[in-house]
Amino acid sequence: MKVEKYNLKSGSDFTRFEFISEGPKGTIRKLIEFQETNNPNIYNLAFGDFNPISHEIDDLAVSDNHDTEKVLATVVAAVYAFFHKYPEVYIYATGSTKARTRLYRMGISRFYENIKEDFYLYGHYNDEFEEFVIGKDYDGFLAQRKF
Amino acid sequence: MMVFWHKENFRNMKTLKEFENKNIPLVAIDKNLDKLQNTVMFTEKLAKANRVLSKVKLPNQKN
Repeated sequence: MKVEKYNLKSGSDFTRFEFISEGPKGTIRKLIEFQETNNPNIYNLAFGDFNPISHEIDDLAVSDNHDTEKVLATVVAAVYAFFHKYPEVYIYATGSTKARTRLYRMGISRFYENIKEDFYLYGHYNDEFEEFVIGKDYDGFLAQRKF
Repeated sequence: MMVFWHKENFRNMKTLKEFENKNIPLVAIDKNLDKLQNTVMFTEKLAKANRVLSKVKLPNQKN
């Protein structure tokens, strides 16, 4: 299934990506970062609006540029690029708020039939990760690339 | 700003069509993003992730 995405730029090690959201609110620089966690096999996916002057990220901003699906598709593209470089690890992701986590869950559900061809996907529920089920309210998500 | 398509994207790919079919995007390398390498961003998010991952049981690795 082809979904429109923004063009991605990456740093040399493919752990940091940037793209430009375009819409009624103008152009907004977005940063995606795959962060090393205390577990060397797991990277945390973080995402937000990037201020190029202060070099600060705002992951609580609601930029409302009317391009949610395109933004989510672009984040998924960054996940593919990251896993291409680091195929053995897990990616963990959660929203900065419950509403954001729910938005991500809805996005995952929307593309789940495509996602599950390439990834094992788990939802964080009651202190464990279980196989992702559409419609269930999870606190976070874990992905592992399929070989 | 030096920007080029990373050759890793094309490794083992015989044709561009094969590349596209694998869902791996073409990504421009921007060395300006490397300048942020020593900057820790999303610190609260990372701390939260570490708290969760210290408590939650991971699934068995399938690969």
